[in-house]
Amino acid sequence: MSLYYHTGRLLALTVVPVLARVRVEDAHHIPDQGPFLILSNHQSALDPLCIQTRTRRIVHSMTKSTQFSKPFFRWLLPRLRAFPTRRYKVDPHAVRVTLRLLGAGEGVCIYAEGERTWTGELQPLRSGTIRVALKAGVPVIPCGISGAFRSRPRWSGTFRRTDVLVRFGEPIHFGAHDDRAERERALPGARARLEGALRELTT
Amino acid sequence: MPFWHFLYRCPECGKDPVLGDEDAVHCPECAAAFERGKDGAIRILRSGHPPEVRTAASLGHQIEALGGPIPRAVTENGEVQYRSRAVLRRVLREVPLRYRGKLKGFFEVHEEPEEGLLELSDETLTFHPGEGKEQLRWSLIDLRSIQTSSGSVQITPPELEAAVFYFPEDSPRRWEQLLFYAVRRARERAEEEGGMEELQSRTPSR
Ligand SMILES: [Zn+2]
Repeated sequence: MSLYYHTGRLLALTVVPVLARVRVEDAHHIPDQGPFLILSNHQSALDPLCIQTRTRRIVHSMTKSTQFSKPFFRWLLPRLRAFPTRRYKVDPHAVRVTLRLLGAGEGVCIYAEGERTWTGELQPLRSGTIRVALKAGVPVIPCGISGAFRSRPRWSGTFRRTDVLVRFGEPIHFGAHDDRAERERALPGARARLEGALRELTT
Repeated sequence: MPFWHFLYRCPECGKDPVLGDEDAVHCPECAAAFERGKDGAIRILRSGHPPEVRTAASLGHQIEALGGPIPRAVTENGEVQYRSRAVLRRVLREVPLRYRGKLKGFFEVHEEPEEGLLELSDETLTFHPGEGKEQLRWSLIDLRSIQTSSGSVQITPPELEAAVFYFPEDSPRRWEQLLFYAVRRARERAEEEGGMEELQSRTPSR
């Protein structure tokens, strides 16, 4: 049942243009079938709307658990395919849910920096996220969002309408690293490759 | 979130605190004014000079380049000493979230807000609640994570799932940076086995 998801997407498609002029490039990198993991930078509260409205496939989003504290959002967010992660600890359940969704052939998006940027710059990527990518062994699609920070920086309460560019990069195939030691060895290389891709995709 | 939560210190002269409101900050020392300009950039206004437009990133780097903690958080002996009025919300339990019969993860339950004073020293972080209530004191080397979340600072102390602090008169960013500084120093002093490794990218952790 994805009625809520598609209704939410339609609503967002109406609302987002009021807040930003969104342009999407290379969405064809998202496969038509099978699992995929989008790793995106995080510039503003607009980002999930930009990604979920511009991808043909349903995208499940790892979302900070605080967002689920109010009953209305606790009802709504799972219907929009958001699942919680507790940012103040390593959250094994969030990892398990991600791997389960990917194992079922679904698409998942994680904001690889773990929090919105304060300055508009790309922040260091979280090791836990890269470990998930290495463990999952599914195509990783880097996604660079530019301009959303200008629409509403983290330190401002007001939106200003700006141009937002969402660029999807070519899928990266890290392969599945089931062994923990192997994952740790692959971590620095994977981090460099992902950071490089995100820098290239953001302007 | 007001602008001064980010620009809590004057990037030009290092003055702390600055005076601010929703979208502008004014330095009482060098009289520079900073306001949100077009496209997420920041306009700097100085008397007798034409306005200058800078990115948030460059001003953020300028604050970092000032180095160390804010001077008023350090005593003459070089010890960390800082306090602010704070509202604490304890996280004592986490609740499973299920959707269509499947476990989707867990979210935290925030207890009722408690007003008090949060005090940072070289070794400890102490929350002094109102009269008659027991204070909470944690050794800095026992804090497992520190991060800002919206307008708050979340920490992970022993005995609690998490503690969330809101500062009615202070910047969560300033507190985050001070906590990082103090925890790093405390750990260096304690010469902990294995030193610091990453739990989350902005979290000093064992
Ligand atoms: Zn100044």
